[in-house]
Formats: sequence, C-alpha cells, structure tokens
Amino acid sequence: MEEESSASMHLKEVTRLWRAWRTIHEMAQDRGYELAEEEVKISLDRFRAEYTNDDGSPNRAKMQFSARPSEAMIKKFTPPPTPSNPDPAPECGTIWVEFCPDKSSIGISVMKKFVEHCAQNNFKAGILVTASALSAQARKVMTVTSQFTLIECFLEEDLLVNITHHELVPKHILLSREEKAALLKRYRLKETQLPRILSKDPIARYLGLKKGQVVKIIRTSETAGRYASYRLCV
Amino acid sequence: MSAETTQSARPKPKGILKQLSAPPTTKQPASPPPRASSSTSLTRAELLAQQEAAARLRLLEKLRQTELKPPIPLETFELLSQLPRAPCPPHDASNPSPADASLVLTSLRDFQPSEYLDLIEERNCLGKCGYALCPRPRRTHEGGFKISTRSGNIARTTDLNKWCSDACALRALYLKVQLDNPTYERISSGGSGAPGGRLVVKLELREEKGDGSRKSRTSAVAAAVPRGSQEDRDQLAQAMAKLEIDKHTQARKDASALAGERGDPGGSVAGLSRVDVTIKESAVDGPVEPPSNLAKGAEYMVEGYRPKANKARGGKQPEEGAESDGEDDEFFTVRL
Repeated sequence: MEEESSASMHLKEVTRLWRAWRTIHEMAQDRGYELAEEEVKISLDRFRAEYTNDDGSPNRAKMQFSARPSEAMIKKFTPPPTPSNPDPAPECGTIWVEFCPDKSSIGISVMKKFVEHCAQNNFKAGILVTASALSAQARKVMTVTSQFTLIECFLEEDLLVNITHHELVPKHILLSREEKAALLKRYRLKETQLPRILSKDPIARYLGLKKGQVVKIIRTSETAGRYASYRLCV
Repeated sequence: MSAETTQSARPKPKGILKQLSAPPTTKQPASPPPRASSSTSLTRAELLAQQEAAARLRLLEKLRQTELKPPIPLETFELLSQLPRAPCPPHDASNPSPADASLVLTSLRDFQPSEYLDLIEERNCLGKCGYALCPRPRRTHEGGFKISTRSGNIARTTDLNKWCSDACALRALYLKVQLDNPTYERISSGGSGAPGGRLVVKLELREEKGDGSRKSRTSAVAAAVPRGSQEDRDQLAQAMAKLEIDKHTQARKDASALAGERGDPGGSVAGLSRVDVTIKESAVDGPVEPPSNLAKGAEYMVEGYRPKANKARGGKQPEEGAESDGEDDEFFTVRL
C-alpha cells in the first residue's frame, strides 16, 4: 500500500518535472538558442526513461543542458560596429540550464556553487530551476553576480505551463539595438516616452529581458486586425 | 520727523545700532568708541560662525542618523551559518564556547533586524537550528500547524521548524529583541582615530537558567573581552572595586545613623540626639464618670457633636423649618 502511494507520488512528480522540462526548453528556443526539435518536444515516456532512478523517483541531478545561441540571436545581440570597435563581440553566449537537486530551500552555498559552475565553463547565462523558493541572501548572490553572467532562477511550479501559449498572451518580440534606435527615430521619442514593462513581469522573465530593452507586442485587434505596440523594460 | 528726532535723541543699544548702520553711514554718533564697535562686529562674526558650525554639525548628525547602513557582506552570513566551530560535546547552545559567542556578538551588532531573520533563514536552509550557537539540526514537523499538548497552543510548523527546541528559539529571539530595540554603546574603534569610537548596538546572550548565573556571567565576560583595551578593563575593575568599598562604608554609615535615631547605645550619635523624657502621671481625685448627656442643648447634638452652622440661630431653627419646608436652598439645616 505504502509502496503504491509512493510510486504514484513519484509519478506525479515526474510528470510535473516533465512539463517544467518542456517549458524551459521552449523558453530557451524562444529566446533564440539552438535546440533540436526532439529535445524540446520530448515525450513523457522518453523523459521517464531518461531522467528517473530505478525506483521511479526523478533524478534532478541529471536534468541539465546547455544551448548555443543561433545565428539570428547572435546577430540580434551584436551591437552595431563603431570606428573604435569595428568588430564587436555579441552580448550573448552559451546558456546553462540546471534543475536544482535539493528539494529544501536554496541557501547561499547552493547558489554560489551554481554561479561558480557557470563562470568556470564560460557560460554567458545560467538558469537554475528550483523546487522551493530562494533565501533572501541567495537572491542577493544572484543579483551581485549578474554583471558577469546573467543568472536567472525559476520555480518548478512557475514552469508547469508555458504562458506564451495562452490565447490571451500576445506575441512578444525582442528588438535589437538597431531596431530600437530606428523605432525611437521613427516616432521621435525618447526612451522614457515608451510604455513600460517591468522586468519581473512573467513575460519579461520568460524572455529574459534586461533594463533598457524594448519588446514589440503584436496582438490581434478587432478594428485593426493586428496591432503592434512597444514596451520598454524597466 | 518726530520719530527720527526721538531715535537720535534716545541712547540706543549696540546691537540695534549695528543693524541700522550695516551700510556705512556718516551720521553715526561718536559716543560709542570705534574699539567697541569693532568688538561687537567681531562677536557677531564669531556668533555667525558658531551658528554655522552648529548647523553643519546638526546636518552631519542628521545625515548619519538617516544614512543606510551598508549591507552585511555575504561572507559574514556564510561564516555565521557555519557556526558553531567548537566541538559539540563540551559546548552546546546553552554553553557556547567563548570564541564563538564573541564572534557572534561582534558580527551581529552591525545587523539590521531583517538581516538577522535572513541569517536564521540561511541556517535553516542548511538544516541547522536558527540560533547561531546551536550545533543541532532543526526540527522537522510536518503539516501546517502543531498543537502543543501541554499548553494547548497552536503554532505554525514553519515557525517551529526554525529551531531545534523552544529554548533555542528563546535564545535567538532574545538577540532579535536587542536588535529591534537597540541600546547603543561606544566601542574604541581601531584605526578611525575618532575620540569617542563607534556607536554599536549592545548585545548579550540570554542568561541560562539551568546552572546558575555563574556560567552566563563568565560567557558575558568572555564576550566582553574583545570590546575594550587593557586600560579600559583595568579602569573598570578599579571602579568596580571602589564601588564595592563605597557600598561597605555606606552600609556602615546607614547602620550608625539608624542606631542614633533609635537611641541605641551602639550608635555614634547616640548621646547627641537623645531627649530626656519624663512621664508625669496626673493625680486622680474621684471615681471616673461618663460625660453626662444632660448638658444644655443636648437635643441638637448629633452623636454627641453640636453642628456649628446651627449654633448661631439655634433658637429659631424649629419654626423656620416648619414654615419653609419646601425651600431647597437651605442646605445647612439639619433637622432632627
């Protein structure tokens, strides 16, 4: 009886993790990283075969992957060449995604280990998916080190559903620097005159927006068919 | 016109004169000597300078009060969440090693209360009791709430799971109360060179109930050791000793004064303050009689006392009472 209940609990957990696993892959893909289609659309059976222990419990330590940025993403994130810097380096790089094996809350030490791992392997971005919330000081570690590598944290329960697939969520497209400059010139705006979006907004977190980036939001409109608006991340 | 003449005629106090002659005027009377005027201007300048200095000081003070303290570095959190370093068998939460205790007290005094809560959270993340000097793991109750069978209280398990025991919760919260309602003390700072030293929050560990005040006092002393220089401690010891001596002498003085007041022979002022008291018995002639009730006007008496307000018009009181029965303003009448 007890075995059965634990087995069903494991089953539930594995299903939850599978959904988070798929969402985080879709997220990486939407941000512009190169991922194979079968990696993103992994079936539950294959996931169970690969990422569970013998007793059916999920093996979080195994759930990690890295992805390289695609050509389009590199192009988007490369600042325009200037006379002093004719060949600028792109501002994006390999991303590292890891599911935290600890199920208890995350302290400084776990966070530091993750940050160090990202720094050692020259990852430009790191995403830590945790089962429970970070402690206040661990959050501080995350923000302090975000200058060198962009560290993000997501809760497993936040990733159960891919919010961008919801019908009420319009399409958000990140603008490159040139596109942003063109937009501001076209409408004769200053940056601050754009509508805003918070960086802690779920969509902004999904796309990994940084302060000063602009998203183009395309929504369907009854009167205009399609309507594009722009928001500045603050 | 008349006002001007009165002004010129009246001898003026210096201060007002000075204000009027702020632009140099020729019709200044020669009566105040130039030396005096220069001295007043000097004092005015000095006064202004003083006021300015005081204002600057006030501003600095205010800035110091309102400035944000720098956040506690992460290393401190890491260090404190790894405590205690002392081995467990001789030392535990109720009897921490002096080195650990002093480390905790010195590093905690820069903490904000919220940062102290962060430290507790950080220790809990590592599975330790939230009290920084406790080596034991924290409780792991399950479910949302827990009922105490002894007292019948209900507590959140999230609150209970922060500590290993209620005693540790008390110890940790004792420190938190001191951070919430800080008492400041000055410590001699090492390199800053400020004469007064730095103001820090005064912290101490909770006194342990079990084995008397001796142990806690020793721990408090151990905690206090790194705070002052050797001279300060010597001075303090001397002052304490003096206090002891003073107490003895004061007690002796009090005792002798009391003895003097009582008239005890042991008192130093015994002979001075005594008064000769002789008791004289009055002679008794006849047998004792109760006071007679048959004295004159006894019928107006209330329990043997004759009300004084009625004494003046004692004679006509009965008729008046009969006539003006309904009058309300005669408060002083007593009718029998």
